[in-house]
Amino acid sequence: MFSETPVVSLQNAFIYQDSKLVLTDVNFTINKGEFVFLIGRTGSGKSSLLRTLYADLWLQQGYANVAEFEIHNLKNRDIPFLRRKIGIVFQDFQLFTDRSVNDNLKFVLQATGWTDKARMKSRIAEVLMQVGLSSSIDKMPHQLSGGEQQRVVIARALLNEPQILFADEPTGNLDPVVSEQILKTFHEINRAGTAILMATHDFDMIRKFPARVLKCENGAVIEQTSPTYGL
Amino acid sequence: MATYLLRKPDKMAKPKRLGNSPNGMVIVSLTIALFLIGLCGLLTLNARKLTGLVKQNVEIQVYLENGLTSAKLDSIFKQVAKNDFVLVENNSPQINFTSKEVAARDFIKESGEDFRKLLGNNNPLHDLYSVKVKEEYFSEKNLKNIKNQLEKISGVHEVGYVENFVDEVNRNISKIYMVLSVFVGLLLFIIIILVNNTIKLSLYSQRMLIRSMQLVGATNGFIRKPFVIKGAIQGLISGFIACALLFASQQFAVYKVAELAVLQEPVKMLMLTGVVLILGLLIGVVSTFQSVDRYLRLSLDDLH
Repeated sequence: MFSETPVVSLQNAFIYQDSKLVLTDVNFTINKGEFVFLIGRTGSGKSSLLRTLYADLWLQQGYANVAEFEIHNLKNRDIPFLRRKIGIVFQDFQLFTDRSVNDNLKFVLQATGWTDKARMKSRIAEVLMQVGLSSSIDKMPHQLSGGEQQRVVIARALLNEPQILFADEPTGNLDPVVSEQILKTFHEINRAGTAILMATHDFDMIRKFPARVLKCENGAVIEQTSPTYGL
Repeated sequence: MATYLLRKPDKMAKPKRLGNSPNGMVIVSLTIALFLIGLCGLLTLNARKLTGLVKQNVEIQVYLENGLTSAKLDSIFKQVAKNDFVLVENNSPQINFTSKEVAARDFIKESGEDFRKLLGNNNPLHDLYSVKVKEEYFSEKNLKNIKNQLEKISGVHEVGYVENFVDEVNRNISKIYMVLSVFVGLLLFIIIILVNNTIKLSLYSQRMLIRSMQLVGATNGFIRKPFVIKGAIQGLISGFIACALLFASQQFAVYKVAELAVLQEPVKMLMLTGVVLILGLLIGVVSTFQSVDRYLRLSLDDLH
């Protein structure tokens, strides 16, 4: 079902938060179009692992390949181009409250080198349709509910057609009903072919939307095979 | 975010643009520094012109004894002319003879006092040779040597020149340069720190915007651009103000001391204005570029 080339691949990777080692000898791959949950206690290294994958933390030891970029050999100047091939969604990745949904998305396109106005307009319409927010294009963020704002953030992450979305607790601030809607949106995006790696504490969601689970525990990342997802 | 909650939607502020930063202090300090740099330049121009004028006009006066024959006068001329220090133009040594009669007439004309009424027909003045000297001999020490050398010639009564004048001019100009250079250096140092701090504040207030841009894949060049453009504009504005101040100061000085008009050189002044403008632009761009670059290389955790 999935392509052979993994979109994320880690071999003997050691994940550091600055100088502190948080995860040892991490090995896993994520294939194109795969949905993977990343679970673990607070401070277990989930966020550090994600930050390493989108090059916000340096991979100091080991090998990692993300969207065809070698993270262990990544140069500063390549980081923006890696990030254009991935999407990042997390709690404090806020919208600009002083501009409309359309302007929020347009700004990202401009920042990532888009210049054709017609193409920009049609891409914005596409991603808003994908997250079910077509009618909110001219609204200001404060006119949207929390769930809708998070959908705009997801739409923003989708603008450059990423191979994978990294989501760090994307439903952390939302009530269970809205969280479920957001997760459905992620599943629809995933069905369209985008791989997703989502860090979460929400085990109800994992039960409702079963998928592969990786668990950060005792400084290691292990494949969770148990049907119960307790910490 | 908190400030936003206090605003009514219909009174929303304009979108926060990247690169916005307090600029009043930067412009004021940069203007002062550029004005002082320009002033140094202007002083250099004027000093060069002044030195040139001084050098063209400084002459050594060789007073001759009374009652010399024209053959003796000729012999003294030749003895003076053979010296290396005498300025030669168009193959002729720049030595002018002024008879004591002409000197008396000039004196009476200039001073308005007729000493003949007091002394009768007794003219106390001497015939003299005015000798122009080559530029390289324009130092107090050389002029003294020349004076001693010329006084040894028989028939020479006395040798004179305006003592201390040349060295005094040179010394004063050097002193002014030194004081201004220290001042300008200090100001440039302050400017760099000030621009640095302004950028730091600006980056801090826009860190969420910058972080978002970095995470969606904006290049450092894209993030840096608005800051650098702003730096360039600040530099140019400061340059323009500094040039206007320079021009105004020059005109004020001429208004107060009309003789200074002779030192004005419009073409060179224009060139100086161009240099000040380019310098303003460069300082604005380079210092902003460096500051933004340093903070872009910082981890955003450090900026928080």
